Amino acid sequence: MADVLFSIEGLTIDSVRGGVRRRIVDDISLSVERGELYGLVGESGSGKSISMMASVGLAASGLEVMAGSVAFSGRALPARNQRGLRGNLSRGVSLLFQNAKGALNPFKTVDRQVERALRRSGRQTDPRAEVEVLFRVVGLNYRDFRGKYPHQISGGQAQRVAMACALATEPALLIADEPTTALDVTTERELLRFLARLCEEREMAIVLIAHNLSLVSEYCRRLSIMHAGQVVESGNLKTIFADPLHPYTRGLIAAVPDVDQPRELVPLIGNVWGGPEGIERCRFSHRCQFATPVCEARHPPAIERAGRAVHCVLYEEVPA
Amino acid sequence: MTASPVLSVRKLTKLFGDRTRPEAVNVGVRGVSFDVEGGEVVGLIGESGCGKTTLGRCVVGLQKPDDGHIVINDTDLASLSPARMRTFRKAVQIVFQRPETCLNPRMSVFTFVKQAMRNFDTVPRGHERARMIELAQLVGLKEEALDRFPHQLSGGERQRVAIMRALACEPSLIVLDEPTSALDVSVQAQVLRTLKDLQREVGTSFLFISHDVAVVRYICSRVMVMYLGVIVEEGPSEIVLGHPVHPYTQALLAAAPRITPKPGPHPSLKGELVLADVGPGECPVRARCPMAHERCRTAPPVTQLPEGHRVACWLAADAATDGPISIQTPSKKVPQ
Amino acid sequence: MNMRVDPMPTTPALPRRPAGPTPWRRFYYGIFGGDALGLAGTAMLAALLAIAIVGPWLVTHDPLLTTPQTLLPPTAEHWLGTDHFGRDVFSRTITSLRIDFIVAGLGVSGAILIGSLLGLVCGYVGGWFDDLVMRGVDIVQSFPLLLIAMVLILVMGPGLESIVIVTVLINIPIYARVIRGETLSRKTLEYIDAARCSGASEMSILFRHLMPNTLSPIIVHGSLNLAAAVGNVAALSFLGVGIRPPTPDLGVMVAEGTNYLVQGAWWMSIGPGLVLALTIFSLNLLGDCLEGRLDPRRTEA
Repeated sequence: MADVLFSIEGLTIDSVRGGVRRRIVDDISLSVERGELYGLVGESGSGKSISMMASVGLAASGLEVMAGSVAFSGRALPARNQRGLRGNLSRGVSLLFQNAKGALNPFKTVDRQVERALRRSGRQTDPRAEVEVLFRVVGLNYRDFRGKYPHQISGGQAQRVAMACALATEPALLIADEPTTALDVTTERELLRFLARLCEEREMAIVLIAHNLSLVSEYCRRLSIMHAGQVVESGNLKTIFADPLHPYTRGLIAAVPDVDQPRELVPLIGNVWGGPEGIERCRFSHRCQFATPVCEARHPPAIERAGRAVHCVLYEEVPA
Repeated sequence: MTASPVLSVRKLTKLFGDRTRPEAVNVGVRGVSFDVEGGEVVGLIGESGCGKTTLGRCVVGLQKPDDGHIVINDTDLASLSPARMRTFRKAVQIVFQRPETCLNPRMSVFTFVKQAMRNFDTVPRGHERARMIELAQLVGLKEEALDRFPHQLSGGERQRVAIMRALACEPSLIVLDEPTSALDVSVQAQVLRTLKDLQREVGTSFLFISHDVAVVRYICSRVMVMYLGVIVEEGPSEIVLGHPVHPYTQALLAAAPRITPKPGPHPSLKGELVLADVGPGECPVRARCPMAHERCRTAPPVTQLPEGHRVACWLAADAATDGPISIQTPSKKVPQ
Repeated sequence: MNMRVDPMPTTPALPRRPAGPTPWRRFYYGIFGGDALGLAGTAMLAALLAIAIVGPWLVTHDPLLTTPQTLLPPTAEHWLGTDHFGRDVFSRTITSLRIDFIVAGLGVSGAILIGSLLGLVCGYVGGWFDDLVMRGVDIVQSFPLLLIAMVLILVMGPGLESIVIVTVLINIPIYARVIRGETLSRKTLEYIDAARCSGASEMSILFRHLMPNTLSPIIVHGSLNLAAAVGNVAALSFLGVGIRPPTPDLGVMVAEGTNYLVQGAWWMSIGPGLVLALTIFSLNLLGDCLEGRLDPRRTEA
């Protein structure tokens, strides 16, 4: 069953700013299977977008990829080779961002933009006809949107147009970076449902980046939870939600208000980037109520347990 | 209730846009009436563009309504001269959504909050610092934060400062306009906890505007659901968000993301909130309502259900006359 | 069952520990953001300003004193030679630099003061006042700068004051426009509403909340504008309507020098010309650096 399409191994990224070097992504690994909706969750600043962008060769300036490799459709490349990654992945990967209106060209009609994306994909078929098909795929009526400029449509519709552009290249992998943050709940749900359907029907893999666990809960099968540039827990979503092991995962779940059974919220204390810098440690130690001196001494290794990998010394030695 | 409400809004109307076509529905508030009692936390839920922010801005006097009355502590805002208005602003304060722009970037927290104390004379001169330290504790800020500038604070801390500024005016009502929607879930939880504790301690009334039903359910005792400038359902939050009657509220609730997803099919709405789809005098939700009906072309009456639960929907009106069908609680019809 | 997984040996230890922020690094990165050209421009400008300030003690000769030793090439006595009246070119260059800095500086500061105030009020109040001022600005900007300056000086009569006033007038539009735009985009921000809810008066909103936040583009425009103003003063003097001889001015000196270039007296214009170019160049470098540093998109938290 493990038909792995895309995998990241040991990705490590430093930011170099004002002559100061900081490790902002620390040895993360994950693998996404064909046709899977994969969740990547963490607070803002935890490095989830940065690592995904770097994994497709789009590390922002000021960032330096230190180590790690990325494999896509069986071909592995070192992550340091950003240009090579871009070349290798540009055909098979599309991106979807938070601010869809910002991603669209304000001076061009939406149908022209989708058509342009199709032309750039370089397929032989008639792009005109394809545009109509793509609009239908993303659930928009082509006739209503022909000749419309991005400012004339709503945020949800813009996100769908951006999606049509992203689908034009028939990607095997879509990276959706908080695609629903700017949308209303009702539209948000529709979009998520649509993403889930894409995975099922088109065998497309999607990495859904979110800061709210409740967004990934319904449609993702597996997920990774990131904190301060480290993966703290990853594995099957149902298992993790039913019995979260890492204190951070527990904290995230306890912080989400529940519509159906209101309960007291237990907020996480502190910020993502606090605590001592420049040492090998569990980067959650400064917020963790179970922290021991061991946590400050080294980065906890991945521990396979109950169908997931958890990075926490609490689970290091299980009594027989 | 014997004491008069802190805030009383009557037939508030504020429309935007095309004045040459008054029959077309515009964004804004269309004839909304409600009360907020002392010490009460009232939620206002709706999608973006439904007019909830406009309503909030009208209540604090940042926007002039086209029609209707806003009465705060028995004073009608419309009756105040600009000079009186300036001093009257003390009574009702607002906290905005965006932490990036809610504070003056060139002012330290202390200076920014102090001017509220100075302008309204809430604290004797020279005692500002001591009072501010108290307030900082109340909203969960460290004392050091008082001398910081906004760019040195995180989003959550800035929202706390905004809440602190509102509190410094010692208002009877605070309008919170999506105070946590720009924050991370973990920070949101911190701020919500603070707000809840704060409310218990200070007893100020809140009008909490949000699109997130879970957040509203957590913090509010009473909620109003707004759609295209009209309140479609209101009542105690356990009832409205526990057993919603209006199809729109049901759809909003069903769409809310959950840690443990609800099994089974969800009632959903068609399309998106579009103003142009709504004809004059019809139920605003008609164009998107899965249960829409020919009758929905005329505005539904407001049906009064027990415990102050009110719904503007024909279905509820029918249920009230024919006996309970989809509504668990017994109901009686109230003549309009 | 005893599960023990060793730490993955993939991550090397941090290869380079960040060097501690030495005072020099803090200065270079903190203030200039690692912009070497900006640092160079600032250093150059500082040197030129210092020369202008201590000018009177630096000059070797009276800049106005005419002597019979005309058109002498550079010597140990006259470092940049003498001009056609036998005046020391070095002393005259330094004195000119001082005068030009004063004239351009006064003019630009006046324009900043009046222009920003106009822009602030226009942006905040709007309505007919805004229309009136902005149409005036349009009119001033629709003429070529030098033409309008020449006409105004002809009307007011030549003199240092006229040049200052003209510099103020032709530069007001820049600041009025920039500040008006900044004010328009900021007056709807939440912190203005918050201040209003705090009971702030209109004056307090205008001058305590709006103004301090609209000023950062002025620093950029000011330094670029000062470069242009120095150039303009020199150009006006070169054309004969600016600073009048015998008062030394870089533009006048370059103009006079060009007449003697054919006779081989290159030293008469090369010194003042170089100083003029350096001044404008360093101001432009500084302006570009400031623009980069103050651009809000580049200075996120």
